[in-house]
Amino acid sequence: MMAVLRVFLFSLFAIFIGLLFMGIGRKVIARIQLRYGPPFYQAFLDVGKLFSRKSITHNFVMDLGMVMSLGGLLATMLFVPIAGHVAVKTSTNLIVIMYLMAIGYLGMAMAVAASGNPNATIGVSRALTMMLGYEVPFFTVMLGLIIVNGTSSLELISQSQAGSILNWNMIRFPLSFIAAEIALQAMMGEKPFDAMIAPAEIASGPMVELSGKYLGLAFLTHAVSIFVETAIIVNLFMGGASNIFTFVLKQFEIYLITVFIEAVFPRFKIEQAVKFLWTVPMGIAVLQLILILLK
Amino acid sequence: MIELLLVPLITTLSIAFFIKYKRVTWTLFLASNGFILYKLYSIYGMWSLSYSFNTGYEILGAKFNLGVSNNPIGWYFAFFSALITLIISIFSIGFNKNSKSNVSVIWMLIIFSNLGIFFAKDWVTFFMMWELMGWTSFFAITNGKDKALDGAKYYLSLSLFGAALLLIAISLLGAYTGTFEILPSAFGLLQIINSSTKLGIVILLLFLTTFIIKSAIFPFYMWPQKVYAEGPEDYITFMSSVMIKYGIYPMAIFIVPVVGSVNLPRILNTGNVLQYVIGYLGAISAVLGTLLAIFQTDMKKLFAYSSVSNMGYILLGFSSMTIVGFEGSLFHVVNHMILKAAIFLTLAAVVFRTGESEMHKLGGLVYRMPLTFMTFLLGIIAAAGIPPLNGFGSKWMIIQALMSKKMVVFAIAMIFASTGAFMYLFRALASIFLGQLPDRYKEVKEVPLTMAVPMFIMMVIMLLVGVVPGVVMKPLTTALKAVGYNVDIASWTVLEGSLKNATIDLKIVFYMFVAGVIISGLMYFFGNKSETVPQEDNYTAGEYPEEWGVDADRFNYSYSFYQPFKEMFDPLLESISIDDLFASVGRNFEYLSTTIQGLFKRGEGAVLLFSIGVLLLILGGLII
Repeated sequence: MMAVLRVFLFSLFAIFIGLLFMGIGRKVIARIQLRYGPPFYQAFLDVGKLFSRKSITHNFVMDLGMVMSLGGLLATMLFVPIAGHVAVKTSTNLIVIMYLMAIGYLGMAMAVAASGNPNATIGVSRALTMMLGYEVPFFTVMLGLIIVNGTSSLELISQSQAGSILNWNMIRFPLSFIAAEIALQAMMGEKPFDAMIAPAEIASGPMVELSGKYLGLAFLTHAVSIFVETAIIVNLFMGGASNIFTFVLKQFEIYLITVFIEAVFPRFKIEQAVKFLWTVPMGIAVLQLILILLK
Repeated sequence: MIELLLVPLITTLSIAFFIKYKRVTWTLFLASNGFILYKLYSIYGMWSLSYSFNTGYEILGAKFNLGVSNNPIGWYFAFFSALITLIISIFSIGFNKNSKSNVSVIWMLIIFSNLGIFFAKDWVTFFMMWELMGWTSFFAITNGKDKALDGAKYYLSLSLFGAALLLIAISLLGAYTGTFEILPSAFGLLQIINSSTKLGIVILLLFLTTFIIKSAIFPFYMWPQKVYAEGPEDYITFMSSVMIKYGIYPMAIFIVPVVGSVNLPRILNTGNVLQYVIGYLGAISAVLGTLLAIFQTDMKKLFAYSSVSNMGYILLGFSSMTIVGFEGSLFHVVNHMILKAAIFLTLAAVVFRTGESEMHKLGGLVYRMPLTFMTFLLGIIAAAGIPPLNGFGSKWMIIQALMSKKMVVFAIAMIFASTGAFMYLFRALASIFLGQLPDRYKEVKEVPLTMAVPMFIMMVIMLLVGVVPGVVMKPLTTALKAVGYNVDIASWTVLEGSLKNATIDLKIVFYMFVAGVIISGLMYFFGNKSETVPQEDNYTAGEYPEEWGVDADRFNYSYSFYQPFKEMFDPLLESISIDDLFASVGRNFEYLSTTIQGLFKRGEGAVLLFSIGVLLLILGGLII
């Protein structure tokens, strides 16, 4: 019973924080572009509105896929330690987290491809290409940290940085951190890596046929993915945190960096993006990996 | 023990007798496979069972005996391949209802050689069974179709090449170690490598080449796509799930123990040279197979390359030479058997109903074949290595082993391949089953019951092995312990990694996934109602195309799905084409042989050859 309650609380917390970040992000971008911008709680209003509207679907695969996508990301979230707390007792294995995250994306891709709109499928094809682009440098970064610590448990890696700020992997392995930040930008699908959304080109790609609660579920999936991805970075590079407030604050710092980059950059074409990800962040990550191996 | 081999032989004969009656042959086929599975189940744990036949001859100083024995690792391979074969043979009854030719008799003979390979006690028996499997599969692939001849010939010539190398290797091994038995000769080979390194390594590489030919590893990765594209679909299912593992089994019992304990120069303190040879073969196969699979348009070719990539993972696991990597590889053998069988059964079902295997000509089949779609969906989730289905556990163990050995290049190659797998797997899903249904497939129906039941069984097995890996890991660890490896018997749901604090409980992963889906399902049900509308409704922006004097058109984005990505790789893929290399070798041979032939045909050539011969004879005489 306790476990069920914890699972619910963690899920709601992740959704809440993710939506809050999204709202603040929109406000920040607006201020950078000298607009007034929506209120910071706009994302909650959006989701509330979307779930209360009627919506259309084309077949059962769309329903199944959307439920699977949010479900997969929530499951991933339950494996990520948040300030030392995990929803259930597991070894918080990084590889499990990376693979579980994929089921969410697969569900989303399946749902939008089932909608039968070519724009959506083009978006998915770009998203999967981008995934190959960022996953390789990001894994290389993780590999370095795993080899240093001799463990693939996210919790142990975050504990190993306890003590002073100088123990943070961000300070100890700055090259890794830079590579991970660039990969994170692509992972979140923010500019300059938003070729899969590209509203002017393919009409928001995956989102083109989603309406009502389906779009709402897509919003929530995005919120949870923001939460999970920033939480992984905080655990890997910023030493986790002793309480939840500091943890969320650190997550917010990471999110703010992506928002700043998002606000001022134009968009890469998909092949440019993949080439960039395989040269610059990959090169930096490999350099750090070699330094780690030689040590 | 011997009845295990006799039953398939007798079945082959009786099927050949009843070949005109299709129902009888396939029923016999099913019954025989059922018996084999039962028999294998009953000999589990009786590792001392054996049967041998002494000829009393000696060849090259080694005793020439034929024998089979219940080798634990062989049992592990044989049992799971028998299980998959039984499921495929249920499928075959329905699938072959309307087919003209009958592949069952040859197939039964292959099952006989299958058991022979897995239970062979000595290299002579092994070689005989290996050869039997090679030429019989030629007939099974062609199955009376002229179109399939090219692929089958390609396969046959590679098989013959491999068999020739195997024969040389076996003779050398027999001559230098004085025994043909597999396990003692492994120790013998170790001693040869320690005393005269070059000879030992040549023998080892000869064996390795034979085995990687059968398992479609890097330089020989072309045959699956040629063969799978044309062969009969149900037999291809067997081939892609079971037969491609024939190279892996002898590697596991012979090459891995030798390479693991040999004393050779080490690279960066991580592994010896041979380990890296195996690893690079695996890594190149994994990456190249993935890239080529991404660019295919034929669904059977796509999954053929996916098999190449999966064989690459298995070699990567072997190359780590740790017990976790070894277990992971052998676990992946069975996982790949299960998921590839599931995927190919659905492809066979699609071909059965539509007669089409080019992906861009299909689409929207989920509306007509929902069960096939579900099987395919679970199959690709398993193939992508996503929990909670099978395929994840074994990949996880292999990556753990590579990371703990600090083999960073191999680990990155593995991640590249398995992330690239999402790309081609999703492309197949989207192009075949999702999107809009073409008009010509409006009348397509779901498959009949005999084909639906095996697919359903495959779904259950994939989920079962994914959540309770113990059903495979327990027999595996028992077998490894019986052979003499220092392993603990695995528990039902927990997998052990090789890094610190690396234990995952797949049961918990499954529960968490279910919890996530329940929460998101609740959100879904709390939301306002939704209405199912046909795809055209949204698509034409509320207008009626008829009012505009046009027809509703259908668009599927599926032909060059990854065009921008392909353009990045075109220069690379054009420069490495093994087929061109083989073709140029073939051309040169042809040129040489026609030249020699020409010499014989013309008078002056014969005189020339005669004089060369005489000259050589005289020279030889002088030297001696």
